Amino acid sequence: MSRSVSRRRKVMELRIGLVVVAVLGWYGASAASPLIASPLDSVRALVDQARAGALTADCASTLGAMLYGFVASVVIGIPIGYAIGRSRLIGAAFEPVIASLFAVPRIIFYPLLLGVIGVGATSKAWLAAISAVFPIIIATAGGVRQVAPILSRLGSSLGSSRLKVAWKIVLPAALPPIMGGVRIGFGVAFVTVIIAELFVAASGLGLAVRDAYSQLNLAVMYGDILFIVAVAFVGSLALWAVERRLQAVSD
Amino acid sequence: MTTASSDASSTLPSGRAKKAPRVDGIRFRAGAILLRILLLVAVVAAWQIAVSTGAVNSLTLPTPWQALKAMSQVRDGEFWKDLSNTGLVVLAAFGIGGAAGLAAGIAFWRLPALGDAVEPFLVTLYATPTLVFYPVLIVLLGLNLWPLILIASVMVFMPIALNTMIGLRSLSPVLPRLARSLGSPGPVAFRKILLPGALPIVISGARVAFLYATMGTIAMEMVVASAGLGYRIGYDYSNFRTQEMYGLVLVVAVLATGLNWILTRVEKSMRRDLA
Repeated sequence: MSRSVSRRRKVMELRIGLVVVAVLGWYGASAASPLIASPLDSVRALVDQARAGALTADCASTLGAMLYGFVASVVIGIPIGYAIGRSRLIGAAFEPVIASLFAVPRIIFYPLLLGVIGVGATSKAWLAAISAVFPIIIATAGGVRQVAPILSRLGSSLGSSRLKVAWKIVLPAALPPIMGGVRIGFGVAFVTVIIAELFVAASGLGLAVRDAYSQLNLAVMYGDILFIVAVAFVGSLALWAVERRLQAVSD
Repeated sequence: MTTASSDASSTLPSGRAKKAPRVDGIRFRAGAILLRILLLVAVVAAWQIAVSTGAVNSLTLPTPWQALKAMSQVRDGEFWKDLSNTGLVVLAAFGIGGAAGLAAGIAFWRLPALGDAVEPFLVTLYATPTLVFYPVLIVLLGLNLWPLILIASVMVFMPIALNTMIGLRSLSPVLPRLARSLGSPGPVAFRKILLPGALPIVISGARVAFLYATMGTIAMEMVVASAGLGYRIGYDYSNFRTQEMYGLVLVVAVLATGLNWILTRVEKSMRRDLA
């Protein structure tokens, strides 16, 4: 017990040490090169943006598009993954298609969406949805397949409808792997929206970075990047914690 | 995108249950292929209807046939220049990121506390748009291939480092002890016993890494570049060359599908546990 506590403390110390080394390294690099903004200047630029309200607006635009896309991918992805995992025929027909589409860079569809839908939140949200849906489909299909067939047979022999078997038996039993896919989908949705905004957008954090880059406003660029990385880090850690708790419960 | 960790844990050799061999009947396979064809027909039909009914402006959406015809641009020298540019970046990144990832994965395994310390950073790096550092590197290194190669290398590094660590950790602790009691020196034991044992999971990570590097490179080229497949798509978009753009998107989709098919084949041939 005490060994695992001291081990955990050592790991924590190492983590803090890594962050300190990274910040110091950044600071040293900024002192050595005029092309790198210092950590302090970057944070200051970020605070200035937050005070001016620009950060809130960009954040709302990015996270709004990401959330719409993410929710759509969950709503679309889980039923498709369920069908692929439960039906041998549907699985044999569409699993190779999903695997191939998974390998196609989704960003190449963004200009098509821009052409058809136009520049704005909707095209970003759809790109996020078609990116995040694949890990969710794959994880759901895999998770559903792992559920012991006797459970669902038991349900149907007790007279439950297919929908009830799915909702009450199969999906809860497959929840931990599905949650893994959902976490990955969440990250993918965020990354995708940022990439889309770096390409063409009317607003958002990615566009802010791009604008700062083209004006060579280094402090703002570094500040915005720092903020984006922090958002991704915190969001991802939170979902990881949820996933691990679900896993612990089901074990 | 599947993380390496869940990818790895779901394909652990030890965890695979023996399935009774099941022979799919010809009717079953024909049914699966028929369903796939139906999906394709439905997509193409919906696309065609959207254009012919005028639901979508034909200036922004060509017909399926026009897009298919525009795929003939693969005969142009320009396409080959773009393709070789993108390919060069991906291959260089795979070499650099792969070597670094393998070394780091081994280090994280040898120093378990360090491995535990970096794991959350590696896992969250997946959800971090590494691409936002692209402008930073352009400012530092100029608009050449190096910013692309370095960012793509980081994308390769993450899954390979994580999977190497997980793969080595998943091996039974008996193996190194066995090697030592048989008198083989550390490096030999590592090369002959541990690395082959971890290889299946490392290979899975390598396939994912290659796809990430391709996706990331094309995305970065779309943002800022002077050549490459992504650059060409972005160029077609901003110059309203809609048909050419659709043709190139189809070409890239076909190439990525083919690449994935080859990588999956390589992975299967190298992984005896999947056979």
